[in-house]
Amino acid sequence: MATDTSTAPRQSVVADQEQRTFRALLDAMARPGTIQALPQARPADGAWGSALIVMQCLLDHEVTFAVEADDRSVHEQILRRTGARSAPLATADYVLADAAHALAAFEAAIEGDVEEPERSATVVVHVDAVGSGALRAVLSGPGIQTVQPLVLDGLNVVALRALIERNAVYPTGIDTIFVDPQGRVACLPRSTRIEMED
Amino acid sequence: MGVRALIEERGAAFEGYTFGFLDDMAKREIRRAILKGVAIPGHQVPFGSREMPIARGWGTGGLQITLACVGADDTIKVIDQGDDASVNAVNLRRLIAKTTGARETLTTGDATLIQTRHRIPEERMTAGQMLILQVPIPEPLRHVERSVAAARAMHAEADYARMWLALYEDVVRNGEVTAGAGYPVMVNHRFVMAPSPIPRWDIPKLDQAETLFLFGAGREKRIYAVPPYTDVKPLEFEDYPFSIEGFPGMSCRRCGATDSYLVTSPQADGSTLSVCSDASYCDDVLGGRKVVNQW
Repeated sequence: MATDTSTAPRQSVVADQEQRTFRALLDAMARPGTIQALPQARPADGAWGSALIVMQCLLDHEVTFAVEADDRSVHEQILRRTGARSAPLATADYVLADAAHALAAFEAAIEGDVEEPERSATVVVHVDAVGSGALRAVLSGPGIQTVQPLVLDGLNVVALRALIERNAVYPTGIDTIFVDPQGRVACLPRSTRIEMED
Repeated sequence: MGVRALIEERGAAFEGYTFGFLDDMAKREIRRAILKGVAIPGHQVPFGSREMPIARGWGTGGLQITLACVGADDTIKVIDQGDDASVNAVNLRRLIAKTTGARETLTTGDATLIQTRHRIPEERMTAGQMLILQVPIPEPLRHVERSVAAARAMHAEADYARMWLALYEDVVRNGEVTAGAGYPVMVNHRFVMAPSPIPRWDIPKLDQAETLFLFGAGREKRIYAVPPYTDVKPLEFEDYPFSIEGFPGMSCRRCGATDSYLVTSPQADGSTLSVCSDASYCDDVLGGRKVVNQW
């Protein structure tokens, strides 16, 4: 259709990045285990760049967040860029964890209640790689036609087992977003059934 | 000026508006609700429905979802009861396009985002597309339980006894479940969901689809979702199974199709006129284009 878009409002660079990030997250959440590409992170943000892009897309002053990682610099960056409020892990709406602290995040993050299961944490786990690595699981459930492999590098199998445990009583549970430094993202909503591959 | 020229006419984009009309914080909040909705298929997630330049009840929920999702490289289609040319559909499409620069289309297969009121297109939608449904009443239990809090507790406990009772009473009184538009469905074996007032004809399309379905109720401030490849089953009794509308012996007066959902209007001479509800499908059949993918 002929369209004169010359005067259409443009997205700011930040808003454009947030919109593209959201669409990648939406695809990833709707099709658990599939690998989606995030927009290019700022090189200056180093390894945390992709995780910061995800947090920036989702956070503002209306929600709270916690960071579970040895490197505390990323906490400061999230505060500065999103205006979201810092909160203890046990109450935070959004949690950013590195792979070493994923177990703690999965064990303590809020899971909502049966009347309001959406009032639960979304845990963003920063792993070494999404789509390659030693940790292999087979996913099934909504968003998956038959089965879907999930392959991660850097996450301990104990952490994934803890997540399975936390999400055992649907519809309460935790929704997880795995990101790697290369900007690959895969999601594990609570509705997904996870089987470990030996 | 013909009808087609009129609905394709659009003029210059708006100046002085934010991209996608909504401010970034409103979009972020809607996006958070959408992701939670996708993670809990069929569960209604509250959101802070914003004031829109159309009245609540005219598609503001669907519009807010569309505007929170759309990027400049999307191709959008808006239908109202299957028709791209209704005043409401045209105005919504223009608002989206003029505030984003997104391409507009009337063709189902060309669209990346389709916003719809009360129909799912006849042409099978694919993984690269999303369907955004406008919802007047998101609570399927509303007619059996007026209290929002009580209905929420019923969803929490998966206690749908009163829903089943209402369907049973319908069968006893009328010999069948009479619900036409908006037939209640069970999503992922857990939540009973209002599919919005789509005809029964469209209900099977929600089950194990390739496409993501997002539902927005602006007046009632609720967002919910059906991800692709999710079980969506109409509520039915073993001895009174669900069935879609049939159009025996009827065909579209315009294109001749016998395999699409028809809308019928009475004529002055006492006869009836039936045409395809889906305008894009009707055009395809009329133009001799084969719709390869049907549901």
